[in-house]
Amino acid sequence: MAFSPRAEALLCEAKRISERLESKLTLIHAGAKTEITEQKVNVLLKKVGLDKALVKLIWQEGKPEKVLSLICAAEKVDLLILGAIKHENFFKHYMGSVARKISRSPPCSLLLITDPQLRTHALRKVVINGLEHPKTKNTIEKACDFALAFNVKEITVVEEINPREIKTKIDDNRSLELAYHERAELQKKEDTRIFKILNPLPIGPQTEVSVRCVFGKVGYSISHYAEVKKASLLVMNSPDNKLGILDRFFPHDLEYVLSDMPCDLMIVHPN
Amino acid sequence: MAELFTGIKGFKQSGFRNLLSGFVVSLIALPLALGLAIASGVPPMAGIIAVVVGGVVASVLGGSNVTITGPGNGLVVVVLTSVVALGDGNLLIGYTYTLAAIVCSGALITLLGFLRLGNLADFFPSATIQGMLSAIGLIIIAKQIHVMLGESGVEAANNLMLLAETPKSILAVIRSVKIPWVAIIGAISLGVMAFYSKIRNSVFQAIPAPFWIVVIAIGFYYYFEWISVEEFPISTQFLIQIPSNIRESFVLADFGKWKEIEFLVAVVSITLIATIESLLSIKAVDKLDVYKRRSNINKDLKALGLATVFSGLIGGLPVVAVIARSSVNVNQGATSRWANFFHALFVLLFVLLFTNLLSKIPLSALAGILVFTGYKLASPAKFKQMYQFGKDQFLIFLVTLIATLLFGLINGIAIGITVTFLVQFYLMEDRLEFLRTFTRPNTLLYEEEDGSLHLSVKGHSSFINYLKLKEKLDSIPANKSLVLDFSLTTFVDNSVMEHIHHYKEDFKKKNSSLEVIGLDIHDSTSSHPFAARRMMKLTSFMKNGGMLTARQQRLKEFSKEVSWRFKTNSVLELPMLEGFPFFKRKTIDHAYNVFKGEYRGVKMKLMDVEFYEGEFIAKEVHKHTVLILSPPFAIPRFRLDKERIFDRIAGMAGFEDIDIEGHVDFSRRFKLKGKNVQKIKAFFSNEIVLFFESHPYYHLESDGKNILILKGNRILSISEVKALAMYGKGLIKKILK
Repeated sequence: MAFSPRAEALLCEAKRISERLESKLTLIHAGAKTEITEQKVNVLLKKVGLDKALVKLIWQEGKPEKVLSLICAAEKVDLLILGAIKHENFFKHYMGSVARKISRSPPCSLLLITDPQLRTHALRKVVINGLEHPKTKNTIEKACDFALAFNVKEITVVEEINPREIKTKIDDNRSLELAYHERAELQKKEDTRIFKILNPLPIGPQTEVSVRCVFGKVGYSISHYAEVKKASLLVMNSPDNKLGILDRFFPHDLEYVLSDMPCDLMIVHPN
Repeated sequence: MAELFTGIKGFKQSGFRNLLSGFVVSLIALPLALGLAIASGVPPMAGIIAVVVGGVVASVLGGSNVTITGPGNGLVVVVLTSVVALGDGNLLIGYTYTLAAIVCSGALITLLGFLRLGNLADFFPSATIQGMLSAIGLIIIAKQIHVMLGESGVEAANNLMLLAETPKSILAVIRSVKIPWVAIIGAISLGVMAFYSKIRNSVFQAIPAPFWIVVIAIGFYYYFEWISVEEFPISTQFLIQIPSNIRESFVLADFGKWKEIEFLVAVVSITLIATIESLLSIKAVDKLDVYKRRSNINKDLKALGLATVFSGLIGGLPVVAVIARSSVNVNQGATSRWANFFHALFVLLFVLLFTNLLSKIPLSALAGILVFTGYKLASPAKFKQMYQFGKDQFLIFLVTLIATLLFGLINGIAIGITVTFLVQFYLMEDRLEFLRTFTRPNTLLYEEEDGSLHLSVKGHSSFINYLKLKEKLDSIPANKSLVLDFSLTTFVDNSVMEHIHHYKEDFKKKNSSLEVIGLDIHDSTSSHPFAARRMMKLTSFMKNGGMLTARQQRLKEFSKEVSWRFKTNSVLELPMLEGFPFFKRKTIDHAYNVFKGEYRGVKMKLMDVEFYEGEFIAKEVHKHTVLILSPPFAIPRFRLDKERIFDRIAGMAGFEDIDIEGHVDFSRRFKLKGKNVQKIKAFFSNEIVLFFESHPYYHLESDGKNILILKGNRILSISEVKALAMYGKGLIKKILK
């Protein structure tokens, strides 16, 4: 946590999430523990209505992203909640903010909240990635648990398929038809794969589950979809490798989402 | 619709029809091929070789259906430049070197086809393409107007100066002591080209304009040969020179200069212009195709490239797909590539059989055709249209045009693209954001729960990333409708708006629809539908339409008199009109000045419709005032026309004239056509027939529900509009009886 104008709202969100998931809340401040800062924290906790005894407070000096990574590993944190800006300005984007830096090599699962609210608000729509990847099964399971806890109205699993997988090249009306057939076949195959994961999962009675196939650049398409559909939460796999500065210039996968966040983002770490 | 075959099967199916249209096209292709070759600074036979080789190769290997191939307008300038540059002033030597460049560029074009890069032509922003084409038009005029006037040897430092020499040449003609026959033939030729489409006489229209010029020129020769006692007044230097031995026309390419920069420039320019011209033409012709087929552009590029290689090897010009000849081909009812094949065959026949006659054609007659072609590319209407697109587009257009005139085609296009980029950068709101994202994907295509397709575009949408959008648009199957959502965009440029407009027409042709949403919150750079859009600032407001013209004001007064509703705004969606046979091979652009009213329960709609025949530079824009009656009951489909002595070949097919018994006068004066003869006869009661006999002539058509009434070939005057409205009311009375 930091002492930004949004700190109070973010703390409210964190409190609600820990209550819903019936988990313990740990607050990490990357800075020195002085009387002034402690005083500030106390005021905040009181405002939000958190009992100081039930919350674990950790103070540690150092570079925020490093501190957070280290503590998350040491404390076996399940979910790290951070405030983030939807759209960072040109220079900040390439320099990297704390939230972005951690997202690029997350030590644990991560929730980036773009617009923290003081009051309770419903989580309406969750979009989950359905990539063909070993991490995906875990991601969907975690996301559905989360959705169940928050009684989400709509879950959409979006499979992104690289258009190159369609082998037929479109030249005229005939090849167009063939390509569309091939596309429908691919779609069917993908749908079966996703439903295999989805079917055994516990889903809330009022939750609608759907699967969408989009053909386009992986990472970009799901972000665009979440924006068009006005999703409230996007759930993605954690990146396989640490994303570096080059990935910001030549974006791929998660980097597309980070450079232009459509909504709150959860990055699910396999551990 | 029955399946259309290609190959031998296709020949059996509709060979004769394509033979006929191929014949008509060859009448245009012959003079054009000769003229284009001469204008390119190469022997006239080079054009003929391009027609014949192109027609044969492209009809066998090509991927489009009704396009005609041969030498193109755009390449005149490139080939001429390279002939002059490579020959160091000696045209004949330059010609052999240029042939080598043509062969190389043919190979490059084939390669582009194999690499599936046919889409690249869509990258160029439309204003720069238009600027380049207009520059080509001006250059053709600059070079050819002096030839047309018979003033050889006019030279100037650059093309603009050459154009400025025109008054001097005209003065020289006026001051000449002898009768300036060369200039007179040239002027007649230009006149025929210019007024051909204005004369709606079916006998005159049966022969295409360029062939009239050939007929007139040869007739001129025989007048002096057979009738006049005087000598033929035009010396051989002003006539086409065709070798009497055909074998002499084959010239071999000389690859001696392949290492030189000028050669490389020639290869790149020919490749660039040939590809752009071909792809623009193919796309435009696809829009004209009655059978809604989609051309395989990459296959076509391979065929055109190969044809260019062969043509260049034996002394011909580059082969491209051409729009003007293709439009005629479509209008003549061509259905397959056989038409292209036959057109080449006929041109070859003409040259073999009438070599002597052809060499009597004065150069100035062909120059007249070319000057008109140039004028079509650079007409004042084009400038006006570009201005209407918005000041930004006009600026890009002008800069490209001037840059092309001064620095050549490749530099002109490069400068044009740079300026387009800068202008858009200036118009944009969030420039840093643009720099960060312009290379990224910005489209998302997904299927909604109900199965409808949705394509969302985000951020910046312009010529830079249009190809990605195009890829998505092209992947949509023929029977699916699409919603195109621009609500997440901050900037949409003119090129994209224009492409989208064309896609809308494509979708409509396939009986599906493309609906654009999300542009309401954008501000446009001009009131034209293709104007660039950017996200509106809070301070700007949507502009209203301009002042009413005098005619509109009087129409408004008239609407009050008859208490009809009247709106001046233009309407783009006109599904009602498309059902009428009259609009079958025409593309409806928009309607405006729309009246809506009712008379005795029959709905009446009167409006000015703008539509066009042909595409691209062959485009003829027409404006008609039409009246539509929509009775609440069904009526038979029919078409009522004036009886003509000579109807166009295409019009002859179809149904027989229906005679109404007991009305000899009516049957003599009118031609009534339709499928359901019984119902039509029943519909044409005594009362109705008498009505037609006693009223002035209008063209009438019924699509089963509505009746279309129109007259003449233009927008009607106020009194004519009133007469049309009254005629409609009179007809309603009779129908209701």
